[in-house]
Amino acid sequence: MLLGKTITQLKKLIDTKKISAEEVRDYFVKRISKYNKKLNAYLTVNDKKNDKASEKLGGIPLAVKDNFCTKGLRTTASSKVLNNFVPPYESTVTDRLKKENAFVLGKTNMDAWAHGSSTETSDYGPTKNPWDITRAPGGSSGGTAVAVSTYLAPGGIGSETAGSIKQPASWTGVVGLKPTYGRVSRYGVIAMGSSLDCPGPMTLNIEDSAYLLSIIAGHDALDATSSLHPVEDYVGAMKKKKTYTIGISDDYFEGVDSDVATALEKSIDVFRKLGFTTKKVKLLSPNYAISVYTIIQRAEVSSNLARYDGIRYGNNRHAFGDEAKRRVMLGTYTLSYGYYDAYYKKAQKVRTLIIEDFKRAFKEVDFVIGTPTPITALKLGEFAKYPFFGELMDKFNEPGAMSGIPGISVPMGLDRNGLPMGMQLMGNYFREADLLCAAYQFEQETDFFGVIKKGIENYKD
Amino acid sequence: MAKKVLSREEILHLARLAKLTLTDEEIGKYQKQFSETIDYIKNLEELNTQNVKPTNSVVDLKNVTYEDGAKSIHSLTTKEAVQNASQVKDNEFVVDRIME
Repeated sequence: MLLGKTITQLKKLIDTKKISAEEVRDYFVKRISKYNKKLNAYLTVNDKKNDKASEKLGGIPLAVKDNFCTKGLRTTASSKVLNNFVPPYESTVTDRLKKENAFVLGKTNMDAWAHGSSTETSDYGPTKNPWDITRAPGGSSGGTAVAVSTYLAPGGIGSETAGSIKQPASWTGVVGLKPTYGRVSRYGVIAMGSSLDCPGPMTLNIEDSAYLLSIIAGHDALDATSSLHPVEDYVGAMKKKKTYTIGISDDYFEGVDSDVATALEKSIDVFRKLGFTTKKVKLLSPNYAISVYTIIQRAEVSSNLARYDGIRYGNNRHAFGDEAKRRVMLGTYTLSYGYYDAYYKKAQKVRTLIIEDFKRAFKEVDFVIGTPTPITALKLGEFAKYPFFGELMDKFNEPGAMSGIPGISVPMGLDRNGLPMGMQLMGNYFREADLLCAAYQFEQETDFFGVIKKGIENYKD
Repeated sequence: MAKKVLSREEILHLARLAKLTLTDEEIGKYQKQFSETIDYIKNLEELNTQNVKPTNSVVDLKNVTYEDGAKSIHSLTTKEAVQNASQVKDNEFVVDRIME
């Protein structure tokens, strides 16, 4: 029985030759062929036929978001612009994973160019929420989140600009870690907001999250913004019984659904029981971060998508979907002559205020607690009704995004409709080991209220 | 205060700058949606940023340079560079003529 085995457990089975890497790979390919049609989590499955990419069949199969360039394996960022794009080089993240014998099992669906919070802006159709297929899985890393929560992969890789790992992790009931900006190389990741983008793991438990982070983290000569800060032994650090001070900010409870708010209170009690202390902190309203994010991210999008001219690769600019066009247009506007100071420069200044605000708060507390998303999974089609809605839904992620601090999302139960709810901890720069340590203790105490196990049980072999 | 609405000409000007082709329907839609967004982001005016330095990057960026003679670890071969192009002639990209 392989169903539900974590990366760490599968690795042990392969290492002790209880099972072969081929058997593990075939097991997941079989599950994908059974469920992917219904869920649309994978865009490309790396079966033997098109396995030009990996030199050797590695042990651990992983679901990788389709904005990571994989040499010889089609990479689309879920946009028809890159419909036939086969990268001639490998992203640093997948390169490091392959060197540790991981195997790219498939490329997962996402919002096109990672523009969105529901995986509905994909040019290849939406991914469905496995808890209720009439609902969205969140996004933009919705494909990876669904692949992991339904065990179409034992773990995977997503990327977060503002909430794109933590929010779908929350809506599908898995663990999502957004590292500090610069902790993980962006080389070979199709760029969205270059001063914001962070690759990170999406997993079934904290140990796998720590394990994958220890592989992908670290300085990379190919990404000038990657940090020289030393990489820690995250798995070892996670197991230390340390207690922390958790900050509670009223602004991070504003507009939160009542079930989610109750579950958050319960989670805070769990930490108190574990010996953690809690303290009220005052933070700048996330409503300012929404504006800063909207301005800066659109500006970076308009610049990054300028390279898609249809000459060197991909189709021409007629192939851009609605959301990409809207973002490019708005970014062009805020960067244009006469408006640059009023919008872009003002936003860069408020960005400084947000950073200073967190630095001050982290002198008093170790983490700030909250939820990555004020409500649980929405019905498919809801986001499209309100173009600015995604940003409002990501308001608890945007302050962290603008400041570049790390955060982790873990399941904290099911709401009245039986949908997963997520709890997030945000920490100071490069405090991933402490975030994992706190989340691991929460996991030991609650088993995430059975959410992860239940999610997998709904999708039997 | 009245909401700022971009004119049809302004939208078309932005589309030209971004090399995008818009339908009439899209022009109208963007006029309405940008107006909403521009209205929201005005909340930044509530914050005093007079003596605040702008942040371009959250990491302590320094110029990254290679030593003279360092071997390139990420250059592509000509074949790799053109493998995804829609039009290639003699291992070169085909582009539109820019001078008559």
